[in-house]
Amino acid sequence: MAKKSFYEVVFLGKPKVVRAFMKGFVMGTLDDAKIIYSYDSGIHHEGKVEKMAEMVGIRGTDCHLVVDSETSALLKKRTKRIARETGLEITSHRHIRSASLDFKFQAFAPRYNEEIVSLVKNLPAGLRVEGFKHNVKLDPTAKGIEAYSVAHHYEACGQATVVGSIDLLVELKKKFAEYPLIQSEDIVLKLA
Amino acid sequence: MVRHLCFTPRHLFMLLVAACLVLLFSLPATAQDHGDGHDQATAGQATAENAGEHGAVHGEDHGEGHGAGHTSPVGLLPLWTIIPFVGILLSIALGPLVAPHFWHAHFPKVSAFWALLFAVPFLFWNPSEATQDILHIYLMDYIPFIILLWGLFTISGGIYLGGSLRGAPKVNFVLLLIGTFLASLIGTTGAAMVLIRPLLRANEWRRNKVHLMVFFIFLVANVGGSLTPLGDPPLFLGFLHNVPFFWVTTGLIKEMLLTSGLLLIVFFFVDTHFYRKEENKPEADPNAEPIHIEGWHNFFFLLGVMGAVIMSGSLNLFDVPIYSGGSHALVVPFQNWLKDIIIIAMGILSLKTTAKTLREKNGFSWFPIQEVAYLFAGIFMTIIPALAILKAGSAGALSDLTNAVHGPVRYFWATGILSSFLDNAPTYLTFFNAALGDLGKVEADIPGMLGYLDPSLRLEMFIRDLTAISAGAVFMGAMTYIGNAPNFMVKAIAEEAGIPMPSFFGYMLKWSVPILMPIFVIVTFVFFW
Repeated sequence: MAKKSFYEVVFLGKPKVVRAFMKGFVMGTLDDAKIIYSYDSGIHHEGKVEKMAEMVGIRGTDCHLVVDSETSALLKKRTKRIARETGLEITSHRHIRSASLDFKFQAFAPRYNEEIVSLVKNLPAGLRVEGFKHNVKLDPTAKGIEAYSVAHHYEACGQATVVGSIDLLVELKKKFAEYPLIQSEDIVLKLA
Repeated sequence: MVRHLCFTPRHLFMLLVAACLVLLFSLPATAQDHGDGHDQATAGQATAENAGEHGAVHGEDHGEGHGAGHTSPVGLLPLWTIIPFVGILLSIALGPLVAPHFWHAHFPKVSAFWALLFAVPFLFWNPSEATQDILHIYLMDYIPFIILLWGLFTISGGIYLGGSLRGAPKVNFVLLLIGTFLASLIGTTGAAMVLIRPLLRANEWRRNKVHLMVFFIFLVANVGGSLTPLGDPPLFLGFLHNVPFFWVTTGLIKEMLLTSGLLLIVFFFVDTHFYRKEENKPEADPNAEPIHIEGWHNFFFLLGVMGAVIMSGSLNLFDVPIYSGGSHALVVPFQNWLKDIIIIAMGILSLKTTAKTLREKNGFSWFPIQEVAYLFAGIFMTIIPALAILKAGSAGALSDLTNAVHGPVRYFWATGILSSFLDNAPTYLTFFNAALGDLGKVEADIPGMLGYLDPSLRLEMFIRDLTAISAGAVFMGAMTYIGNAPNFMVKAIAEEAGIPMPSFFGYMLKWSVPILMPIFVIVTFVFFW
């Protein structure tokens, strides 16, 4: 099966408007388009400076999306027409070389540690774990309830980076959200 | 090869200790010894007129030593003598955060260090006065305090709430409501221990549970324990210092109802919000185990404890002389020992008549009581100069504090803010004595000032101050994890149940400050302004 490729497209326009436009665009032109909106999928798309500039009004609102190659090609072909007829300008259109997701976790019972480690070790094909650090500390003297001390008898912590296809990473991030003990960062895109 | 200097928590402790040692031995003592000539405390004896209310006043045995215009020599000690007191409170506050495993393993030694740091020079300075004060605080405060906490903790550890509950907003609301009032009966630690696991079991299926634990800390582990001296250690210390048993019940009921009412309302909306976000809500289980209480006979033992405490405040039997070498004779009322014996008996009966499996289900262990015993042994030793200086009022080294903190608003917030970061029991005692010192009163005057004796003795100013101090100490223990003992316990149990509890500052910034502060501001304007 050919590896899917994805592109980051940046529209200058409010996310709701872009979303509505893309819905119509896809309905009219494509049967099977993959569109991921960065702002609600945990994909890093702007830093604090950009956010502040937007709030203050120095910078216009933009909407970052990740699209598959077919949708990307169609958007590229119709860029000028889209801008002319809808007012939505495409300001960037770049190939995504790779994507990564950093995460860390902390668990104070073996059951939760094992669940998370099992999840990390059984990722779907197309994703790989890099730099997995995992540490389990046992302190038998800290077993039981305490009032003035927070020492746990079992402490497990770990961190790693998952690298792979952006669509699989987005699904993985949603999966991570089901585990309250896992803290994941925004997905970072490496663009061409 | 470059050696990197690594500053660890142990270094922080050593630095703190070294600084205190330098201060202690380099500054001259400036205590004036009033020597003989103190009148025996004659603050007056009053007898209970109402059943169940506090009666006998023990001016002598509370070591007041006050005749008109006289101050205990300990009250004239310089300010730096309270360094061990500050040191132990900071150790309790910072130790678990900075070095949890070190603290866990060595907290008894840390407590002993601060205690000896004060006790040894104190005994060297004035052996008779020091012996009197040390005996007084351990016999009148520490031992009864520990025995009560042991009794309540042991008995409540034998009560198990079993059954299947389905974690939904109404169920959680009722659990928190019950826990809030139960805390006043069995203590905040006991109530937390009994109800934390049923709450966790009921909501096991839910993904968003942090708010449940946070409001549990707010209500069950703090605010709820404000209606009787059994509810929270500061209030029991007040009882030991002549505040009638049921004064807090009537004195704090309005503040408690407003605070807990607002918190429960906010909780219901917050819980409903998170409940609606949950997917896969479980259906009602027809085979669900009904709710039931195991070990319910322990409630009789709890009533026995309450009866013993009330009895000690109502009866006026004979005094047992202990020590007469100091500026005034130290005596212990016999009913105090009777109370302690009854509480111990209730605890032993609970142990003998309750199946061990119930305690295992509650995760019961003796460690929390060991912690309290070791830490408060140090606190009570080191608090001696602080209390004496505060009682001295304008004559003492903390006169600036007693002058600066006036009125219920300031007492509420000063006691509260300090209780947020330091243990609330010694904080309460500190401001309690500040209030007395500020008014030039002694503990023997308290029942009269609270209106339990001659109406002409009633002092509204003191009533409002004491209400504010009590409310501040109890309510604001919820502001941080270190404000009250059960807070950490709830956090640890929740974390071991897979709930990602917020960090120390996360708890404050996301939960306690935005929710509790506005409520406390409302309480201030409604009751203390």
